[in-house]
Amino acid sequence: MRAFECAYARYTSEPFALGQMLVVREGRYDTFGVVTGSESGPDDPSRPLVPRGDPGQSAAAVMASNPEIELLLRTTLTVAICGHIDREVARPVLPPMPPPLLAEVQAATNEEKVRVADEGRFLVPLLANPAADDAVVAAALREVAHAAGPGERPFLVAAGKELARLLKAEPSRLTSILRAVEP
Amino acid sequence: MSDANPDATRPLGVVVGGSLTKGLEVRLDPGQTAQLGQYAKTEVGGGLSILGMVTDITLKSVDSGPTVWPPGEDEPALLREVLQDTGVYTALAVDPYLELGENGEEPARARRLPSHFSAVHPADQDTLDRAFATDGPNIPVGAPLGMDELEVGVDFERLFERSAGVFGKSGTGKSVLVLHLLDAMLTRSTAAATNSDRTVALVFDMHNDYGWEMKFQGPSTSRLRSLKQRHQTDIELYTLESRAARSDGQILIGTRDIQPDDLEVLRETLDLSDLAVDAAHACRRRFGPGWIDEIIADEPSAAVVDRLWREPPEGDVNWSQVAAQMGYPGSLESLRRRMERLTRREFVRTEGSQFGDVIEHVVRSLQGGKSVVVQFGRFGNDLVSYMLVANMLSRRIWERYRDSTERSEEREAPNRLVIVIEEAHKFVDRSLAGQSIFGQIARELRKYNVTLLVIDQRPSQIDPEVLSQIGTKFTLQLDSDNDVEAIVGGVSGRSGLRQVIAALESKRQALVFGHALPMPVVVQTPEATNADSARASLRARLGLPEREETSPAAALFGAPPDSTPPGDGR
Ligand SMILES: Nc1ncnc2c1ncn2[C@@H]1O[C@H](COP(=O)(O)OP(=O)(O)OP(=O)(O)O)[C@@H](O)[C@H]1O
Ligand SMILES: [Mg+2]
Repeated sequence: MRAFECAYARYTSEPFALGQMLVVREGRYDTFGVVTGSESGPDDPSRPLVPRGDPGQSAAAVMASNPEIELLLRTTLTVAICGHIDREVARPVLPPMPPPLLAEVQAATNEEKVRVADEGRFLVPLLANPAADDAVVAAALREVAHAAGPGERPFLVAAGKELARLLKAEPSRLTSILRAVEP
Repeated sequence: MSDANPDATRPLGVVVGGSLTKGLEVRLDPGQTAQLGQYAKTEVGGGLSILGMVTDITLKSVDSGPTVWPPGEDEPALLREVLQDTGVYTALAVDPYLELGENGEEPARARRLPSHFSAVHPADQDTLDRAFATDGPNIPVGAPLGMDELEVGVDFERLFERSAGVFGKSGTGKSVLVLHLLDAMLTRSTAAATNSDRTVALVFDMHNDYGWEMKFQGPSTSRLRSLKQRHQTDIELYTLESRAARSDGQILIGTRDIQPDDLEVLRETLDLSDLAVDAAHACRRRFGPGWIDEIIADEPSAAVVDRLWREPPEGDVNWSQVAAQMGYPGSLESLRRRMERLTRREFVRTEGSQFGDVIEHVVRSLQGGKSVVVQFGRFGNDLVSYMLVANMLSRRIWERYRDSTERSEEREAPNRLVIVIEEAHKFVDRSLAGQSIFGQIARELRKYNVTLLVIDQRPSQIDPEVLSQIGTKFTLQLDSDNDVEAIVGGVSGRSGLRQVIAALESKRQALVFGHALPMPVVVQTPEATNADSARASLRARLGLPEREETSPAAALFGAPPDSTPPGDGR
């Protein structure tokens, strides 16, 4: 548990949530993806984290008193690509090429999220990725719906229908995702 | 069925399957609604569109999932909303009927199918106008479902050129509709140039609906003006009761007029056994035209005894001896009792043969261009009277029409006669359609210029062969599936109409289909009123000038010859 605390400070400075939509704005296309998981741990796996701090001390306080921890930890996000924007046209399909190495990853804007999600069509590439489990899909839907503002409900219905078509062989999966979207 | 207001500009849905015989399957678009009996159209390419009717609406599920685990009450609303049109959807069955070209060609029977995913739209007014356009005179029968602006007309000529039927359970509006049709017939006939151009009706009016006035539960009136009030000089009113008001004559039947054949159709109503009918034939053969008077006498007359015995038995001969001698021990007695009861009716006169005169007058009226209404008064509740009179008159009048038609090389063919009977199934039920004159008229189509307009609550009881000869059917709400089946049974491959009939409202809503219409239509029948406001449009539809004027025939030759009706009526 303590080792996890060490990684926490990085999250607070730049929080990426499960199902969040990210964008890489370099290369020929703006490439969009959804966070399907993240893994944090020491840079050197042979030197595992050891518990630090005093009982009752919060994670933030521990971080603050041990600034070196942050430097030793890495957080790796896995991102499933769900679409791209090619010269102003949003396409909810995989881009022809992957984003360049070392390019910067940013959070997508609300407007971009809604465009790329394209009434739920972004679920097609997303569901094709085994990493996108029910929790991720539900989170991604919630996130885009939230970004849609007043269009939240219509987006959820349209995307839900898209999902129903994609999951027509798995009605129980459809049900559990939709339950997670609108509890 | 109630009026819906489908958004006519948006498609109803898309074609997802179907066949010409079984109809199209259309997947309803989310948010659209459709109702049974509504018209839909779709393009088939080459500028052609197909017009059809929604004959069924089904809820379908793509697979069993949503139906096996339907979202419960407490599930998020989103789940239900999402499953609509994805996991589950609404499918329409659309029966294709007509093919319409771009350039106003005559609509033709649908012979093509649209391709998959063709958009299906609610039919617009323009399309329906074209589909139901008639060149000739037509009788408006109401507005199709959800299209109040449009009034559909049945082709006048085609309606009466074959037999027609009005079916529906009690109180659905059969009589009001028939009055409307007859009113139209008379309006048109009055204006015809010659008597032979007139279509006339012989109405056996069981419940006193079509004479002076009709009982009616309307908002402002309890009586509807009937034919005699609307067409004074073109209607002759006969009654069975002797002192009936406004009667132009009384129907009288002499015992000598009744033939054993006339009893055949009464077999069931009179509860006559086959043997008793045989006995009637035997009596007619042995005792001559006065056979009924003979057998209803208390004692066998000398003439009867003479006919049966070369050497009469000792003493007074009684009826059981006669019966034994004739070979009808039980049945002659039962025949006697029934004839006795039959002849007690006031319009039956013993030892008389007044009927010939009656026939003469009725035929002269009919062929002279007047319609005849026979009112049964209190005999309307007596099926024996109704059937006896309707059958005897119709048979003899039909024979006269048949003779006139066959001689028409020398003379002018007679005008067209439509015989109107109620409770038709009593006359043409499965067991006796063979003998009934009405079965014969229906089967012979218009060979002798005589057709039927049958009114019935129980079409399932009518001989299917007769039913299949009925060209145009007006079907109001029916009581049972059997009746619905009987009506659509004869329509090849159009079983979809079954659901449409089953969904009719309980009053004034009718499915009309057959010979006089290009395609079936569900209409709200015209509002019946005593007001004259509807007459102008009726006249226009019938191809007549808006205002009534003296008919050309009357102007040239005077009114049709007035026949002085027989009997002691008036
Ligand atoms: N076209 C109409 N306009 C207004 N009211 C109507 C119309 N048709 C029927 N009705 C109403 O329905 C009632 C019953 O109609 P009608 O007498 O024609 O029924 P029916 O089918 O002949 O019944 P039955 O089999 O008992 O003779 C009428 O009295 C009237 O109140
Ligand atoms: Mg009636």
